[in-house]
Amino acid sequence: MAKSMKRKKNLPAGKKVTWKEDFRKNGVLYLLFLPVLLWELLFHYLPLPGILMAFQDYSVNKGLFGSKWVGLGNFVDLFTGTGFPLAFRNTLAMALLSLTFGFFAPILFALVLTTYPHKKSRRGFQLASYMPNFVSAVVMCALATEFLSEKGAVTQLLSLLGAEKQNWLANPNIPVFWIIYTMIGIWQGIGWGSIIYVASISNISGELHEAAAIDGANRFRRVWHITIPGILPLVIMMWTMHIGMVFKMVGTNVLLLYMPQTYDVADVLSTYTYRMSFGGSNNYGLSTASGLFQSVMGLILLLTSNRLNKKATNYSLF
Amino acid sequence: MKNHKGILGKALLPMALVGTMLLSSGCGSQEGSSDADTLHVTCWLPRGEDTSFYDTYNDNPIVKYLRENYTFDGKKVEVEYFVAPPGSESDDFANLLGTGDYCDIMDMSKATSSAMELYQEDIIWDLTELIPANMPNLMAYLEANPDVEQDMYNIVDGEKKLLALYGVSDKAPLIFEGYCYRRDWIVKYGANPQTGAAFTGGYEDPADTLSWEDDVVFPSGGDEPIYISDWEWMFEIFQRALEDQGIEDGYCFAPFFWGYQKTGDFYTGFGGGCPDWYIDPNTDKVVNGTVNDNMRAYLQCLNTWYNKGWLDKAFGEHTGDMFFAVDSAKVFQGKVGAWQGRISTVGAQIDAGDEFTKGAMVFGARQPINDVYGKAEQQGKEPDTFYQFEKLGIATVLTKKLTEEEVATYLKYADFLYSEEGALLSGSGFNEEQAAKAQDAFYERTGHSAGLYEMEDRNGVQTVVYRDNVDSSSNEFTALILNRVSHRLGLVSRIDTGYDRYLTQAVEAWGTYGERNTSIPVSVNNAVSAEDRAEISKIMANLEPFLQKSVAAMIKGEGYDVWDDGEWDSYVKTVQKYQAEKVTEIYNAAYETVK
Repeated sequence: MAKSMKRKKNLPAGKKVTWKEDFRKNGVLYLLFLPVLLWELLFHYLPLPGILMAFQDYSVNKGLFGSKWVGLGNFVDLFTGTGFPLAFRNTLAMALLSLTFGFFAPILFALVLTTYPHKKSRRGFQLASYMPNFVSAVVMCALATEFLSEKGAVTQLLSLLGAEKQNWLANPNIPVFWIIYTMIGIWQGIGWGSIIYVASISNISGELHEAAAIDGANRFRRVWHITIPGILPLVIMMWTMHIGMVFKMVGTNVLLLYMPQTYDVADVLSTYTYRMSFGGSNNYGLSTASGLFQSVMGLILLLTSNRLNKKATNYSLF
Repeated sequence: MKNHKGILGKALLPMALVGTMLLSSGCGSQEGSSDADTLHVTCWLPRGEDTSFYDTYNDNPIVKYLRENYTFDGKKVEVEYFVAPPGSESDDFANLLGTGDYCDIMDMSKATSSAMELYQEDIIWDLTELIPANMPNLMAYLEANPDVEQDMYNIVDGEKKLLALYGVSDKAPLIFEGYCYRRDWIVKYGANPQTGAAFTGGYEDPADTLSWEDDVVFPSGGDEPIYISDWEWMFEIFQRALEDQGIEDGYCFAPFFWGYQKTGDFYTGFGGGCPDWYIDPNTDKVVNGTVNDNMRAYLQCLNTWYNKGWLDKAFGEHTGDMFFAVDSAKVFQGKVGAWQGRISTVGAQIDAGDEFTKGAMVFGARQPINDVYGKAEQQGKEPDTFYQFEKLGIATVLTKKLTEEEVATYLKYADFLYSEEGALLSGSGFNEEQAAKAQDAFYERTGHSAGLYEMEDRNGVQTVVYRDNVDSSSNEFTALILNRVSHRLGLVSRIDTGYDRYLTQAVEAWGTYGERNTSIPVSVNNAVSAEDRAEISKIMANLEPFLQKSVAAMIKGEGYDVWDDGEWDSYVKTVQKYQAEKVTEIYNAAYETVK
């Protein structure tokens, strides 16, 4: 039977804890959870009726019940747009790169950090790695644009390795833009994303490492046989959640980085939808249809991934 | 039951869009309210002033002065301004409408919905009867300017309706966004095309940057470039200048990053019109300017220039630049020969005394006329489509958050801004008397406690002459007047701008071909129905990215070959596949209703 990460009811036989007793005992925890609950209700559950707009020629003044019902019309407009196939392909490609390199980079970084012996410099590395997360995407993209320009630092470095001097962001060849997008994502998220893994690794009992060291296991062996299995449930949970979100994550920086000559390789569902929905007059229906499509895709991926994980590793999110 | 449904429907919308509410400037609960002696209204503006001048637009000196010194219908009018976050103006407008959190008054310059759509959704007031009843100054202006009046109307179900207040001017403003070129390079590296003699020129008095004189002559015979052939002669000189100075990353000229400007400008010299939909004066029909022979001649010209190394190779990469300020960093570094510029680049202003700008002298150039590329129809024709050469400005709508009585009072307040006194106050700031009365801290801090201007009689016309310490092209000046409020009268013909001889020359060059515009006028746009507008929007969402990609590629010689008839036809057919003809049909139908 698969081990579920759901909370187990581990109560003494015959003893039933009422919600009042539970609240009295864990009141502080519930209080801590309250803002999260409010956030979820306000931003994730209350807006759900808005999904109806995906099936309407939505008019602000007519509201949800007054707007004209168009069935799947918005989806037809979305999918039949000439830019859709390329935007879908690019989204898939960037999502895949983000899922592989983007997801594992923070884990590797956390492993390196926790095995790094000098505590002071480790903290320095950690602090430096968090910083890009707190810088606005506009600034990050402006920096990336500068670094990747014809005279930029990255371009100079690449030219030393034999690459042609060019503005890399203007390169319309596959997979240049996709790689740039993924690398910027890693740059922004590696430090922040590694926090949870560093915390999880810190919770693994030191005795296990000591015992393995006495048995002659070197550092790599200890990471492979103790650390990685120790954080595997967390990795699986994060992986599954990441997969569910990946469609929506692609696109944040694209708007700031792409240009007409790279539309073919850089246009993604978010930017395509933005142009289709708000290029001229507002089309809330089409925008909602696109959002719903991306959510459904994310849900399918999440369920599939959860099932595959259960089969392959015996761990699952639900 | 129906009522409950409506309430529920409207209640769900804010929930659905609650996330976006936090990002918008939200006029919220502060909308229109009035008491016995004051009308409170809220007004959304896409842009305010730099916060180094004052915290919010409510601290603007003219806003405060109007609030404190005038009454309308026996009431003071307190306008509270809400300004969109910079860079998100259109998103903010859309969010406010989407959440129902819009202001009483909405500036439409960054609108994502048309006034007609807002009217059909019962969001804004029909002002057709309210304006004549409450705005005698605006009505007097419209009577004197029937062409402007026609453009102000919307056609709704066959009826002419006034749905917005528009900014208007007594004369089409000459906002300089014209071409500039390095005159000093021509003097130094060029030679008289008729005699072959080297040019001479420079400052007659080295200490006086206004004393530039030279003997430059262009191939067309005058002392300024008029034709494309003049420009090509000029570019050859610029290329020598760049080589001689060892400027490797410089160039002669850069088009806007798409390779064209929809507003006309450079394109219009190739037979007229603009690379968008425009009214062809020959046929009196709306035509698509992206697929005609004018476009082809324009592209052949730019492709030739690109191949000769005259264009910026990276023109398509300046995606963050405005069309009148392409790659301005290089312009100010002295590495560009000609550009579409700003007032701040004319004359000796880019001379920073460094290697490439020392001694720089920049002159303005008129829009060139094609005499080289395309067929006879594309040559020798005076340009006819320019950006912003119109008396009619930005629209402002009044939403139904105001009652009819409040609208009437606000229109009386707004009408003051169309009177001579109101136009002077809003467009030129305080005179001495008003400044003394206002005792405004910002005026005092900036050294303008004696007011900004004096009136002088110039050939029988009372003209605004700014004081010596006033720079009417500065950001500080816009903060001293009511610049961001667009529904007012601009007294363009009554202002002495105080431009020096170079700026005067540049502005005159830019205005050589007068107040012409073949772009789709506001009246035609207003006559397009909401359904047709949505159709155009859908077509353009697919077509524009294709055009942006293809035009830049054609200039670089990487896409369709503009010199090959078969490939050009193929490009035209692809544009038609995007249903471009449908857009032409819609515009022509709308044009017929307003002719």
